[in-house]
Amino acid sequence: MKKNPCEEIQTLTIISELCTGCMKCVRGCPVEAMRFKGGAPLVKWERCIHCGECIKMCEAIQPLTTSFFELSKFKYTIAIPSPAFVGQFEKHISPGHTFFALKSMGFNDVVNPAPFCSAYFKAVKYIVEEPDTPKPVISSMCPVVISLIQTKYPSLIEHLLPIMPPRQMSAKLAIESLVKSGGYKREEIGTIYITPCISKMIEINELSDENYIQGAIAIKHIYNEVLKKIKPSEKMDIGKGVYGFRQAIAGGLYEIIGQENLLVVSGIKNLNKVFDDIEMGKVRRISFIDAYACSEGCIGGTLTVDDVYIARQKILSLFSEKDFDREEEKIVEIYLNTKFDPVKKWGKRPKYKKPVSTGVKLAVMKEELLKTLPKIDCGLCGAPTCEAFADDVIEGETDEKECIFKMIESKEINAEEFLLRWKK
Amino acid sequence: MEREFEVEGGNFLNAGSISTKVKEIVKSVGFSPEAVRKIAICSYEAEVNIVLYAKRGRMKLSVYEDYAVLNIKDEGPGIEDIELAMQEGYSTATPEMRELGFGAGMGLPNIKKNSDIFTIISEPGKGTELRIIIRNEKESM
Repeated sequence: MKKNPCEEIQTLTIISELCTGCMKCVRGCPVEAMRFKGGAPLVKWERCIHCGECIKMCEAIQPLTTSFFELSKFKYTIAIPSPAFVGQFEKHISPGHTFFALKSMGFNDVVNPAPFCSAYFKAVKYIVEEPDTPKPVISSMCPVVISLIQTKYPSLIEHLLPIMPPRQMSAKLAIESLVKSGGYKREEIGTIYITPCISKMIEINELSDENYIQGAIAIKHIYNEVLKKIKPSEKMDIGKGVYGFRQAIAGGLYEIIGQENLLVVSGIKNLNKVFDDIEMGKVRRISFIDAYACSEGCIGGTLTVDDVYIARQKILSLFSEKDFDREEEKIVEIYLNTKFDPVKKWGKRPKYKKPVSTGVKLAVMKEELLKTLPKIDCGLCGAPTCEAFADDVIEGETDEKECIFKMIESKEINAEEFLLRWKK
Repeated sequence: MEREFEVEGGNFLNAGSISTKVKEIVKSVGFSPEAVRKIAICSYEAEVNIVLYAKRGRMKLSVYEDYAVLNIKDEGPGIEDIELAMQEGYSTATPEMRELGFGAGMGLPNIKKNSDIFTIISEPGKGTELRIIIRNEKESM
């Protein structure tokens, strides 16, 4: 198969010994990026948007995140917990307790993401109110949303919010202050995101602008260790700004933007529906879309531990009033003064550009081929649907004879031979 | 390449389904994002007009290297005063249609704004015919 640049950004790995060939991942992938070939699942990376749905479905598919042991290569390590992280613990365990636990695990410092999140939404409000920005502005905080737009809705790229995500901003400021006052070199500092999903891994390699996060550790991979280190009497002072933890919930910070012109969308199916509507000019009077690939927001991430609704309740009950950090206004200003290009590098590679004449030829070929396929989506060819199979044939990645119905028709193979090949 | 679709008048459940198909076709053959957006908007507005006013209609998409043509023909009541219908905000929509969020009087003006060449022929009692041409600008890479 042709090498393509997208293969460089793998976010998951497949342990083929654990694969039973059930094809759940192939059928369940929301962008039809999985195939079953040679006895194991295969990812078509140019289609993959790194949502992690397949990880949820099967233990043979494992996230490729940073391991705790890799941290030893840095002189100074900073943990940046995702806001979803604090929703994973029992109610009596406050964010301060969990941050203390992270520190005692070996991180030199822990950054509280909350004020960066609420400041982010305040900055969003400024951008959204500018008359010249294409509306609706679409949140660029979730890397999967960006990947989805780059692969399926390129006409919406200009709608993506040009503000650096809170995780990047908090890492950037932490690095800058440490370089200035702590006498550390940039490369000696490891900023590690405690992540609810795999998609942050694309950011590490594929951000068009400078990236400030050196690694991402899955919440579920350090959960047990964190629990062990929690001490009821020991708490890190995280100051004010707890309100921002609500960013982990889709629409959690709606009060900052205002309900009226805000659309909160989560889950890939729902995103597809809304993005289709925006392309057709159907979404009117909406100025901002708070968009998340995981349903209910980052708390629904594949690498979290607790039930999404319980986590939601816990985050919502963290405090009773909006207690904005005083530092927050300063951060808002920095957000607005920092240029940021949300489009990932791989989206800028012109691999998929083809002349319309070629496109038409291929589309006609595909239609003709589809007419000859059974259209029952049996999956025996290894593709999730007959249509996806037709795409593969047209792209030259498989032969139309791989369709079991065509094999039988041409009498090239009998049932026994087929079974042998399937098991291979 | 040509594709023709039937649009059912009065069926609000499916309003937008044909334009979604049209959009997917031009996207898959490699039209620029800007051209895709324009074609999507024009076909959607035209489809909604059929759903709102006509018994039925047909939408034909023709794809060429540098442009796409949308031909939309309906069996509707036709338009009395085309000049008036082309004005932003002018609408003959009923209160019921407005209740559903349609009929803001932006449909035809929106099509004109998003097309490179736009012609409309209409006669009261005979229906309306739209011809929309949208260029596929070569992207600078």
